[in-house]
Amino acid sequence: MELALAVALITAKVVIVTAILLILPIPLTWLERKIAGHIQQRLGPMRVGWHGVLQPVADGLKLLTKEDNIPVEADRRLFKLAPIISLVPPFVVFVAIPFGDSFSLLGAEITLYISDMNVGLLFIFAVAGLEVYGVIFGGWASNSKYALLGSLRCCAQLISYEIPMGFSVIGVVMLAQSMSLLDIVNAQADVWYVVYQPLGFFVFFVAGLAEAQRIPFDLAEAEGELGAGFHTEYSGMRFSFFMISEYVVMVTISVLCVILFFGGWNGFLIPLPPLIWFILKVGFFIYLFMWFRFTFPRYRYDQLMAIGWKVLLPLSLANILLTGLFIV
Amino acid sequence: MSEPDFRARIEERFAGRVREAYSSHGMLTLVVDKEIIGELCRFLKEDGDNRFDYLSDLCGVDYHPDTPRFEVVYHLYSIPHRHRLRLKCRLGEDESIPSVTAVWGTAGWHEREAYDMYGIVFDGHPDLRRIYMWEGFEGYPLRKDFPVRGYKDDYNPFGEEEAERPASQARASAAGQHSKPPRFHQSIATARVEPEGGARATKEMFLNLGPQHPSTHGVLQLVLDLEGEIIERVDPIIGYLHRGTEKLAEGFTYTQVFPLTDRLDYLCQPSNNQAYALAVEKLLGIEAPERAQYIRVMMTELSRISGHLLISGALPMDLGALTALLYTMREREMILDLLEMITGARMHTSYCRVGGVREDLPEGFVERAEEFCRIFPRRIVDYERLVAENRMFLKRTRGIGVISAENAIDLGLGGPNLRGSGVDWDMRRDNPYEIYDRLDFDVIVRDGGDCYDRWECRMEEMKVSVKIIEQCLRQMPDGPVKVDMPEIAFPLDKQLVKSSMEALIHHFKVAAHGFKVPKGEAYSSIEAPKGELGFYIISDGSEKPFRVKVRAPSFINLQALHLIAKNGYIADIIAFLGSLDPVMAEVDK
Repeated sequence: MELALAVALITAKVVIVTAILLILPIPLTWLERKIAGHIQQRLGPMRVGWHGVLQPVADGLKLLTKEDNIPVEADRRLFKLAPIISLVPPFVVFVAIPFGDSFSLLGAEITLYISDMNVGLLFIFAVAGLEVYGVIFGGWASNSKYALLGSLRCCAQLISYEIPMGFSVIGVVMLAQSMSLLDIVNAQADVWYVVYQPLGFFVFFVAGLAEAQRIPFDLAEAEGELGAGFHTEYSGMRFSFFMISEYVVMVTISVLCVILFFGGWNGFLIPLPPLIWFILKVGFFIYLFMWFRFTFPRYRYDQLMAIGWKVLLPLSLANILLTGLFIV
Repeated sequence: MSEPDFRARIEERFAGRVREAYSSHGMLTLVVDKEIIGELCRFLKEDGDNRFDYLSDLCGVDYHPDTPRFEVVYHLYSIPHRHRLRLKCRLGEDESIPSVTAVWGTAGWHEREAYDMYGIVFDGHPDLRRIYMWEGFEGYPLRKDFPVRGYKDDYNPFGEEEAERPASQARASAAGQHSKPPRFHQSIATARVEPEGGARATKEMFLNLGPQHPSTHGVLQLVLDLEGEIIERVDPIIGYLHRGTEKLAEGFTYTQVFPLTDRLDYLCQPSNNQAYALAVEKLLGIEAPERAQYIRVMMTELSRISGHLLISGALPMDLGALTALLYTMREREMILDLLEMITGARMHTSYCRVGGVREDLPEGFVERAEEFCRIFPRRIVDYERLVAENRMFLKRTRGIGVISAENAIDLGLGGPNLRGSGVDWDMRRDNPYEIYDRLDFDVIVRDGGDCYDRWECRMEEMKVSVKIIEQCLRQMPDGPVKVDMPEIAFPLDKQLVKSSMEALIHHFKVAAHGFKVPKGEAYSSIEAPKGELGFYIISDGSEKPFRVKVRAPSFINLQALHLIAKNGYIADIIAFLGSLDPVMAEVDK
């Protein structure tokens, strides 16, 4: 009985998290277009619903009804597989991400996370790293030059930014003495780690921008050069899979920023429910991503690589050294 | 060097080979044997007293059925001495002429154009292929015996019957060794072939950028040979938007040509109108009234701002900063409103007329224009904050696509592209036309020659243009806006048509037949936003021009692409294009 209840609870949580993540792109695209509009002195979507709130629904419907086009010379199996491969890892990552501590419901303790792994951070990086397969399969299977160039760029970028990203969180792990995200957040009850780890945060955030392939690091789909990059040949729902995955990655990076450096759901001065604090902080980071996108141009491929290897990597290593000295 | 001295010197050097030397509409013209053209051009370019270092224009003319049939006309300019010279060479149907590509690099595309349009063969041209028409097109469209409608085929059901094709328009394959010039990108065929023996070999990849591509600003196709992300070679393929402006103009009256000029550089129509009007006025020997000149200059400067605004927003946009374009569009809207106020059209204004402008400024225009001049300089600060001080933008444009001053002159670049390379030449100051000599303005020059400098030149030129507009608004006198010549322009007072028989007849004649222009030829050019925009018009004394050659600055500027794109990154070619600012409608004519 207890086992059945536990399984039911976990299943329910998984379903809820997945549902939220699937629906999340709807408000996010609306927000992004609205923010873009107002930054650019226009109104953004206004026609569908109040201030265009239903615009993403209309877009979704459009994508659903679009012809699902597969190029003649594409590798059909890989072509179909790629969007799924790129969609799954960002969702799986959320297994290890806590949204809060726990609360009691009808006498039962319900935790606000699916699983508290003692290697949570490792798990996240390991799973997130799989996403690159979706990109490279997509680019390769399309049998198109633009897609191929885009996916090659993307691969190189993801791999070279994962390294400084991984190093940048080591400082946090050293301070918290744990890889469990729950412990990391709890360790920040008094002081957020961004105070101790400004350098680590900087590296993590910049690498995160690259990981989420947002401007100024959106080379893989630099529309100025490569059309749409690795998903040039995709249409309809397959295309939207890539888009959803991109948004979920953006949310993941924002969530990780908050958990690792900004105290997770720990409040500050104003007493608000922990979950609200958490959402507010994540929202701020998402806004930051969008703000950047409509302010900066993008780097060139070689410049991007130079930043990754020559700036971020040494910085993250220095950060580990400094943190070590600090702890000792 | 004075003109007689110069003539004497040429005569002495090329005794007997210069058949004629005369001055026509203020330009010295030499008619020479085709054999000496290469030597003469080199002499003119390198001789210290002349230094004709800039080939403005090169074009063919067809005098069918006269013989010898063709003529090649060169318009030279000397940037150090600020004077012009015209060379002419007659040649028969089967004759070829030495290429001058070795003297001026810019001749490359000019000669390709003449080959494409007239079938004139230039010996020693490194890459003589069709440029506007596609490979395999038959006939030479600008020849007098080529019908405007073309010949009937699968794509052109309304063309003339093939059977009526004259021998001179024979299929290209009959022309001999030049019928099939080597294709540039032969790698297309070989790239797909598996390396022999199963061995893996590296091959450069070829990539078609365009004609449908977000960053090529129109229908430009670039065939790139890539080595990884590095560009080995680039071959721009143009002509997707070729409308045959020059051919059409030959069938129109002088006034009817104005709408055609609108459609060249569609961002800066008033300047095209102005350049064409000036050329016809030169042929007629008339000048527009003062007020009309002020209005034209003002319109041109407005359109200069509008053109520069678009491209200075589009360059950051191509590099990923979308917002800049939306900002510049906001101000461009104000200019379009002003143009609409004057002409009733936002895009194709057709406002100039031979001998003036169509109508006087509307009421309230001066206030609106002053308001614009007040607001706009403050807005430029916005762009500078958003773009010019942005490290990423600097990193993408500083030191990228460098063109040296010599290369820029050799390639015949113009406008901000030339001044961005440190060449201090602006025809508004150096060869003033209309009322520019009464205005006080700076010429913006930058020394770097990279994408950023070209971009910055445009930003600064917009500020200069605002000052020019302010001065025009202050200085503009009252008076008529077109010449009082009823046989050329509509009467100043339209009511006259209702009361005077004479006026009615003239009105009818001008509207129905146009006006006759005395026999002769004239080249007139202005400092258009993109560079030197010239019109070379030959009149045979009728109401329709015999030949109109457009010296389109975008066409020449685009030619520089292959030079600066080589060994750059793919991402850089977008910055090159954005900084060269080609408008495809003008490139393709």
